[in-house]
This record gives sequence, structure tokens and C-alpha cells, in this order.
Amino acid sequence: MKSESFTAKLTPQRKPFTDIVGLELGAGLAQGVPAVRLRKRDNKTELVAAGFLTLPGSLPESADTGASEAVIWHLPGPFQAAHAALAVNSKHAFIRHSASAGDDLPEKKQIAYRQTSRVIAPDLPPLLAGLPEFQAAWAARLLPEGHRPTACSLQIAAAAAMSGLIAAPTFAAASGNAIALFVFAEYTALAAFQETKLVLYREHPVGARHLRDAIGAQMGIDVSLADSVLDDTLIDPTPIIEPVLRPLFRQVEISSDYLLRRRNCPVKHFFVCGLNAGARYWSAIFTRMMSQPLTPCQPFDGIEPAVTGTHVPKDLSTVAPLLMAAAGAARAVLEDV
Amino acid sequence: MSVDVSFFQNLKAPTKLALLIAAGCVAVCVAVLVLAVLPTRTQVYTLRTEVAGLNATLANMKTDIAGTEKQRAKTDALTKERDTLLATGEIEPLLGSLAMRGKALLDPVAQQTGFAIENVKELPLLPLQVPAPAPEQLYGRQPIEFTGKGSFAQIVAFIAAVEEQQPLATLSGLLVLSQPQTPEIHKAIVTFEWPAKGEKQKTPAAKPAP
Amino acid sequence: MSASLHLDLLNDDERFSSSPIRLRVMVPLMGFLLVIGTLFGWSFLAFQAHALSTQKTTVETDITGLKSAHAEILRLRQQEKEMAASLKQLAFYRSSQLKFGASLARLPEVVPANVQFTEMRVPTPPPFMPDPKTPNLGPTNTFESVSLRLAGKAGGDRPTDAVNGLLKALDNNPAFSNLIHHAEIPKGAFRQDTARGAVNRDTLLFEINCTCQPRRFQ
Repeated sequence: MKSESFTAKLTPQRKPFTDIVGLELGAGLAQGVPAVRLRKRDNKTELVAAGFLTLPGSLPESADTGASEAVIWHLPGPFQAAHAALAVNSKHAFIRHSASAGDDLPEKKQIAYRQTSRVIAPDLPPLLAGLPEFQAAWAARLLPEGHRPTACSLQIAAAAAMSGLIAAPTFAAASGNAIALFVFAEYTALAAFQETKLVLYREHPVGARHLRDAIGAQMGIDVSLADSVLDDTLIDPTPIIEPVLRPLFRQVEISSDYLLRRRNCPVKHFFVCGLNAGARYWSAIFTRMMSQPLTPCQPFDGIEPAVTGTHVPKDLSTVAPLLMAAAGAARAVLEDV
Repeated sequence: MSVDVSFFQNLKAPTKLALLIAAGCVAVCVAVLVLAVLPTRTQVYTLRTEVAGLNATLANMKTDIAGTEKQRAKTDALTKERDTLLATGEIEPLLGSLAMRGKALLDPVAQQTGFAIENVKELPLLPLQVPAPAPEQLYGRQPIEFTGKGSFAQIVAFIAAVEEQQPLATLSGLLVLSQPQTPEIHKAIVTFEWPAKGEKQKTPAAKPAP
Repeated sequence: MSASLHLDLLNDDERFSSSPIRLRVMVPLMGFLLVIGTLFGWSFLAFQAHALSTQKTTVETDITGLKSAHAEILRLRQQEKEMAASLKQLAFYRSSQLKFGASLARLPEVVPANVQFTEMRVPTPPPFMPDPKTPNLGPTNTFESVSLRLAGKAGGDRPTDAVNGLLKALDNNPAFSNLIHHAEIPKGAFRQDTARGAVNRDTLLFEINCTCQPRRFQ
């Protein structure tokens, strides 16, 4: 009896995915859980649905919470693709190039971790990604068997966002040499690419929340109004946000210098993703510091809406940056053939 | 064909459970099939055959019973015919003696014709040809010997009168001897036979009649 | 080598099918349906068996109710067969009957005056010897020969002519044809009377054997 073929019959078969909904867990957004449904048809990726879903539960922060909470998500109809790509935004997650084979991760000393690795370039160590086991297990149980969708991928939110950028035509136009900033609520991920391969990854503990907090504190307004200040042309928040952004941009400078000197790769393209407000101020400050433009990237760059039945919010262009990780997770599965 | 048991161990728990449930269901089905379905099916076939047979029997019985009166008339007619025939000449013992019966039957005829019967003797029963199918009650030929005296005319008259008055009596033996002392009076031994009851068989065997 | 940054942390045992129709569900479901189907089939058979059993009981009751009436018709049939067989056997007897009276009464008409009978004999049938193989059945032959023997003496001028004339009459006279088939004088049966006395020297003794019609029991 051939056990492998029999076992294969009993387990779900991996085949190219064509209809994926990306969900960002732990985004911490007031609007809800970011969700993006993409479909691949005739070698073209189309947007089927996008938005923020009201779903129960939240990413557990401790193993005890994760074990006790058993949450099941049932997505609304427009988002019921066959499979789901989950992007986890967790402060305990990590992405790094491994220093050597079998190195002992400091994080693993405290709690159990689930990790995976991928070789991106022959001259680079494998890229490691890890997530606490309790968070990974919690996420894997969200979508029950027999109902659409079921999980087919579990990614770190930053990796998902990077996958989304790599697939974008804007990035392709940059000849694969670029430094990109992925702005999340609590941190900003800095990724340097050489010939489309990730050669450097850093996380800087400054995120969108820090800018809002600074604006709110400095201007004496509620943080929920900070985004409107960043979009307002009358009030210039540059003096407030520049001190917050300067250390981040300094990191960009260091990374650019590293690429030039260590890898002989001059970087002329700088992208920022995930900014739903104040992009021009980011660009202005960046240009002043780096003498280089900072190009905002939309997560749906190169994605057309579906011909029929597209379910998207009216202010999609405004909220699109907040869907960066969800779109990137879906795109990573669709493009990873 | 070798079974790799390790593949069971490699299966996920839900898959194992599914296979166990399926195997259990198959086992239950087989058990129900062997212990219940097949015996019941055999029982149904047997009952069906029995009921068909019983229905056929019942139908035959009803058909038979419907012809009871007709059969009764037919049987009565035959019984009457036989009884009438036997009444004309079956010989039955008188006080346990067939000779006495014979004497009782022919004494009046002897007196009528002048033949003087001196002795009557019963001879052994002769069997009668049996038809096929044979009846339970067989009949035989019962000869009875009458010894007497009379003239030739009286003897012949006696024989003729017996043949006329006893339709079933048959002359089966005759001896007339002249007497030197009495030339006109002869000694005669006349044997007549009658049909009489013979053996009664319980299971008469069929003997084809020639 | 792909530049893809798809770092998938999902374990294989966490990958499930979104289709409600999957082997892990369908196989036990089919198993349950098989069990239910088998039980249903058995129930149907059991119901059939019960119905047939009831039907059988009903028919048996009807048969029992008709038994006495049926026994009567069977008895009548058996009696009919018995009567028919008895009548047939008695018919064998009747068809075998020979009548002597009429023929014997006409005998004096053909006996010449110079002929005197000394004996007239019709031998009785021989006793029946049962077949040891079938002792309880009837006789094996349906044919019984009957003979009439006449013994006497003839005197006078032409005793031979007288006896021959008697023989001829017995053989040819229609009065005896019903009884006598053939009459003859056996060899040596025509002789002189050797008894003492002058009258006896002229007297001839004779015997005439008449073969009568046989008795046919058929």
C-alpha cells in the first residue's frame, strides 16, 4: 500500500491559488480588521473586495490568553474567497537574516516560537521569520474547516507588505534597487533591496501612532484628529514630526550607505508604504535630509478592480495604505508559484 | 501487498477519526448484513415459498370442496350400484357358516325342483382377479358343494332354477352318477360359487388388469 | 531562486479545505448513510417477513377451517374409487359366468334311446396356489378352462352310430353352442363293455369330453 499517495489523498492538495483574501491580524485599527480579496485571472491580478471587517477577538499577547481564547471568524460574503492569507502584526514577531546556521534566537529563550526561513540570495544568509507559537496557533484556528475561506498562509505583516511592494509595477520600474519604508502603527520596517532581493531589514520603533501622539501632544488635540492635521494644508506639522522622523531617516541614510559601500549598489529609489496621511510631509522631510525623493506606494499598484462585483469602500484611495499588509499577504500567495 | 502502518501514525487526528468511524460503520454494516439482513432475507424467501404453497393448497381445497355435492352424488350412485349388485347374490355367512347360508338359499329351489339336498359343504375360497387400482375390500369366489339325489330332469331343473333365481351363482362343478339300484334317481354333487368378501387390504397395490 | 518574501509560518496540519465536501467528512458520512441504509433495508425485510408470517398464519387458519370439509370430499373420492374398483372386480366375476342349465335341459333331446349316461362331470376348478412372491394378490390368470365329461354306454343295433350321432349333436347343435365349444371322444374311450353278462357283450362304453367355453375373468 503506497502510504504517501494515500496520505496525499487525505490531505489538502497544494495547487496554485487564484482567489485569496488577505487579512491583517493585530493591526490595531479602529476601523476593524483590514481585508483585501484578490483574484488572479489570465495572469492579471484583480481587486475583488477591500475594506475593514468587524470580527471578534484580538491577537493574544500572552500564551495564557491565546490558549483560553478560541475565536472563529466568519467573513462576509464578498470576502469569502477559497483561501485566506493571514498577516500577523505582532511585536513579538521577527524577520532577520540568520547570522549562522542553527543560531539560537534570543526570543526563543523566553517563549516557544514558530519560525521559517527562505533563501533569498546565494550570497546572503537565509531570511528567518518567526512568530510566537501561541499567536501562530491562535491565528491558524481562526478560520474553520469546511467554510470559506480557510488559511493557506501565515506571514509576518512586514514580510507581507514587502511582498506587496515587490509585486508592484512601481518597484519593478526601479530596477530592483530601492529602499522602502513600511509604516505600521508601532514601528516602521526598513527594507533594502538589491536586484529585487532583500539585502537588509531593520525595524525602527517609530510608527504612525508616534506621529499622531506627537501631534496630539504638541497641538493639544485628540490623537484621532491628528490624521486630519497631517492632511491639512493650512497647518504645517513639520516641526512636530521632523524630530520624530529624523532618527528613522538617519537609518535610511545608513542603509543606503551600506548598500553603496558594502554591496556596490547605489540606491536612487526610496519608497514609503502604509501612509494614509501626511505623505507629503514625509517626502518633504526626507528630501531635505537625503536629497532624494520619497515615493509613496499604494498597495493596489498594478491591480485593477474586478470587472464585476467589486466590493470596496468609497474612500479606498484614502484608506488603501492601511490595507498594505493584507494586500501584500494575498499578493505574496498569488505570486509565489 | 505490504501495509505501511506508519502512514496511519502520520495522519492527522481528524483523518484518523474519520477512518476509524468509516471502518466502524463498515464493520457495523457487515455485522448487520451477516447477522440480520441475510438471515431475514432467507426467511423472507422461505416464507414466500411457503405462503405460495399454502395458497395453492387452499385454492385446491376450495375447488375440491366446491365439487362436494357433485362428488357425493357420484359416489352415492356407485355405492348404490355396487350394493344393488351384491344384494343380488353376495354370499355372507349365516350364523358363521357359509354352508348354512348356501343351504338356506338353495333349499327352497331344491324343494321347488324336486332335487333332494342331502349335504352342503363349504369349499375353500378362490381368489378373484384384482383390477388396477385394487380395492381395499377384495372379493373372492366362494364355492359351496351341494350333495343330493334326484332324477336327471330334477337335477337339471335345480341347476337352471338356481341360475335363474341366484343371478350371481355360477355352476363351478358337477358330478352326476347313475345309481345301479335306482336307475331313475342319480346321485349328484353340484358345486355353485358366489362372490364373497375376501381380504381387506389397507394399501391395495395396483395390479394392471389384462 | 525566487525573490519572493513569502515566509509561510502555517503548518501542514493547519491547512484545511474550505469545501464542505471533503473526504474526511464524506467518508464517515457515507459510512453513516451505509449503516442507515443497511438498517433501513433490514427493517424493510423484517417488515416483509412479518407480513408474510401473518399471511402464512391466516392461510393456515383458513386451511385448518376447511380441513373437515376437505376430508369429506377426499373420503367421497376414496369411496368412489373403492366402489369403482369393487364393481370392476365383481364385473370380472359376472363376465366369467357360464350358464349350464339351459344346455343341460336340452341334452335329453339329442341323446339316442340306446344311449345311457353313467356319469356327467364338470370338474371343479383346481385349488388356488398362491404365488409366494405376491401372496396377497389375486390369481395370476384371468382364464379358466371348463370341461364337461359324459360317460355312458350304448347298446342296440348300431351303438357306434348312436354315440357318434350324440357326439355330432353336442358339437354342432346350436342348443349347446353357448356351453360347449368342442366335443370329442378321447382315444381309447370307445370300447366294449367287458363286464359279465350277455347284454354287456353288445354294449359299448364311451366317454365324451366336451371343452366348454372358458371362464374369462376380465
